[in-house]
Amino acid sequence: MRHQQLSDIRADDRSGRRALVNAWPALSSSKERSPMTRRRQAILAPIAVGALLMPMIFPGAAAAEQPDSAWLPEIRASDQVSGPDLIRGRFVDRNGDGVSGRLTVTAWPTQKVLSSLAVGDSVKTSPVGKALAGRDGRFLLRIDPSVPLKEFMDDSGSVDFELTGEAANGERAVFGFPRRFDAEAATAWVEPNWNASQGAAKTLEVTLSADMPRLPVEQAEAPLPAVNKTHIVCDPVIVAHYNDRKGIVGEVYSGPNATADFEYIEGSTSTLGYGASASGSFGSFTSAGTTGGTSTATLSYPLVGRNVKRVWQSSWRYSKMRIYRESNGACVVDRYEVRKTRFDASSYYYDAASAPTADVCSNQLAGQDLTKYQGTAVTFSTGVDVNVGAVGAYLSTRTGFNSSTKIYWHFVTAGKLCGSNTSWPTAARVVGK
Amino acid sequence: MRLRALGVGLVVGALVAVVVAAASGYFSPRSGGPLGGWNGAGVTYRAAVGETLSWAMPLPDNATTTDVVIDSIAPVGVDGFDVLGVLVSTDGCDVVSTLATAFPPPGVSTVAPQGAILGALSEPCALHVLFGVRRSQASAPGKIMGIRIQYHFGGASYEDVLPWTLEVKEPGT
Repeated sequence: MRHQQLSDIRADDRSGRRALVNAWPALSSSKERSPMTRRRQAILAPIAVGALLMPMIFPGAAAAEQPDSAWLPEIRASDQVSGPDLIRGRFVDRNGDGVSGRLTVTAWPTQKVLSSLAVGDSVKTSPVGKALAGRDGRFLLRIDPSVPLKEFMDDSGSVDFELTGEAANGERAVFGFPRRFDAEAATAWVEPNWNASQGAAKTLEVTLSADMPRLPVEQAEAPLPAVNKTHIVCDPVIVAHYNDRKGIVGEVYSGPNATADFEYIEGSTSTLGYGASASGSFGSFTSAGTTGGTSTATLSYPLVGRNVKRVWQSSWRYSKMRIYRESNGACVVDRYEVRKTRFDASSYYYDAASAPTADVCSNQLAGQDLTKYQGTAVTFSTGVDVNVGAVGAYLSTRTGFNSSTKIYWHFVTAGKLCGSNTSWPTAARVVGK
Repeated sequence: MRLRALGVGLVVGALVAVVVAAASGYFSPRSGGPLGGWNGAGVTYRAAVGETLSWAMPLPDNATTTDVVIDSIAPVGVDGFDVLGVLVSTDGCDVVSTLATAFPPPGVSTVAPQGAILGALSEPCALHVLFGVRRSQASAPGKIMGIRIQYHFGGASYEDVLPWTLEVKEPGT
């Protein structure tokens, strides 16, 4: 009987307090027991007290270290599946200390699917992997191979994943990232434009900070749950569209001796930032990661003359979405996100006040043409403006890590082509001089 | 006797494994070394058939803490050119991308690629590669579609192809 009570203490997976209550009858009447019994109880007591204190000392331990059969039962945990690693890292709290918690990876629809959705439509997403972060916050996520992913892959095989972390105190983290499975990179999912010549594939590694508070349930709208055969489905719903949001796709600095051109060819890849907010209110959105996607049209930007410092832009439709989570058999609002949902393909530009610093210069002859396919991606941290009448978020664009964006210079007179960090063929940014 | 036969069998088996591995490319240079993984870049110039010129490109920086030792450099996808030679230079960024003169180019100090060292944590333009070419076909531009570099790094052999191109067209086009 007492053995059973000890088992109860060890097996209880949610509350140290409840464990102590279960053990308490055995402990409270120790004076009436034999010496052997008292010895056993002496062992039991600190265990029970420890069980009581565990949730106080390690707030996430109770939730994160014990399996919860109600948490996405249709998905196998990452430590139970094999296959390439998707993402690894550390789950931390607001102070940067590792915390235990639940991590879920969700696949989002392709841009082609998202582009057809209207306000009020639900967005079919799918959880595809889950893992528990240990007390030090370390985690590793793999995709459950039994989950169908094909419908979430774009033409290049790339998928927009979203990693959500939930600490025991309810605070959460959201991180989006596009990834592609490549048979040549057997051990890891890779960046959408990775190829074997770029070296061994490396698993994406992040520090995931749980700094988004959970909305009180009473503030969360609760729609009727949509139920499928196995579990409640709480898909996101589109709240609003914001058309023609401008994002930077490239830049040209022709200098005094050259003309220059920029092409954003169909199939070019831009990784665009997206934002998340617990309340969805104006100005509350913070960067939540990136989504991928390729251009579906070639954009021809006009040749620019000498001494031009031009920043080229294109445009996307962004959409505000309400993201739900399941709670006690119903869907309640978890957060809001503003995401790219369509490539609008307009062409815009503005002229920069100054060119970036570029001091690694190579001499070029008059009559010479140079072409550079964008190598190292340039991140424009405020590249997309989703501010007007919308959510108050400036999101990043990252363009040009494939070979479909190119910059071209024609040296009319002898001059220099200068790289920002090294010589022009491998420089991140290049300026004509 | 049986042990001896077993030993002979093991030796023969090991030899067969080595031969098979060699034939399947197990010992061939790896790709994805410190000089690999770059996106495309190209130079277009205009020169008449029969004209000699040098094409110079700065090799990628060696961002590692180990020297890279060049074994060989060769053009890939050559069309419409006679390749006159391949050299490397340590003259820095002053080397001009195309030199419509002779090969080796005057005024540029050059050495053979084999044994050239791209030092650890190298400065930009630490090593240029120069190709001597002469247009050989009037009907089409001369083209080089890439640069193959074989090198030693950290005790291993690497071979990477830089997608860097040269195109030389007829003057006036």
